[in-house]
Amino acid sequence: MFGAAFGVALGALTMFINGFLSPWGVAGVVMPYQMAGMALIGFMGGVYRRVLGKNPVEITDPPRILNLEVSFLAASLTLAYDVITNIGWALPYGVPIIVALIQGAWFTVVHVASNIVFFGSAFFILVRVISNLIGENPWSFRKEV
Amino acid sequence: MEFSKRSLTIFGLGWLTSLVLVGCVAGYYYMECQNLLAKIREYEGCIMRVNICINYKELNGTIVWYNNTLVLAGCDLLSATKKVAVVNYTYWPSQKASFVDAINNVWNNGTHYWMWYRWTDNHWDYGPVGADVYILSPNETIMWRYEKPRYPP
Repeated sequence: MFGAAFGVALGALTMFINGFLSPWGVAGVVMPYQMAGMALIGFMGGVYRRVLGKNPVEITDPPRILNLEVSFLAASLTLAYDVITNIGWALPYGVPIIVALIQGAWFTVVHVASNIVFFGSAFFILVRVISNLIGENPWSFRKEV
Repeated sequence: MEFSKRSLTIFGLGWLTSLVLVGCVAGYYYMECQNLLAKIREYEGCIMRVNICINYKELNGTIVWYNNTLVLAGCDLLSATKKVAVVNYTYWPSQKASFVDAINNVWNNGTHYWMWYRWTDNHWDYGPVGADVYILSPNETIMWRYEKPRYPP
């Protein structure tokens, strides 16, 4: 909604805060990788927004293909995030990266599946809610990229 | 439904994601399998495999085999049988051995009893002692048969 640069900053900041307040405990050495992963997701969100172009009809009444697109994009980005964070866990502890990925396989599956469902069903609803909150049509919001 | 280049690219990414996930899950189970095999190799000297047959032929014509059952080395027949079936038994102090009363809820009934045999020299031999006293050897084949006892063999 707010562009790639904002997405990067928001993603990194979110994981920075999460690194201290997460119910799983303080993130520690993984935190920079979490920040990088979420920054990537923020960046890709900005890029996707740019690629979609200016089409307010799609946001108020998104076609099914757009919901599918968002789900698939969420799946890929979730996988990318998990790969990055697994690398962040594997490197400091000297675990081979492939082993770290395989050990976390089921967690990744659950993570990806839940995001597919969440993004496919709630993404555009959230966009509309935020649009109403800030009182602007996000599709005409000034882009930074 | 018309697919734009953008949609196709994103669906391609999703497809790649599913491939990676399937690969990771397959790798997970491959690793689990390797770990278990390594553990079995580690305990190779402490475990052995035996074949156990439970023969209900005189009850309902059924014969069930439990081949390659993993048991601890030096395991007695009663313990091995308990690994593959529900066994009820009574210890007789006078005999210093246990007597099997039922296997998988098929009880001795006054005419039919659970008797055990071992496969030696290409024929079945009556078990010479109580099942809890008989120590199994690696790859030994044992049969429990629900029958009207016909001993001496």
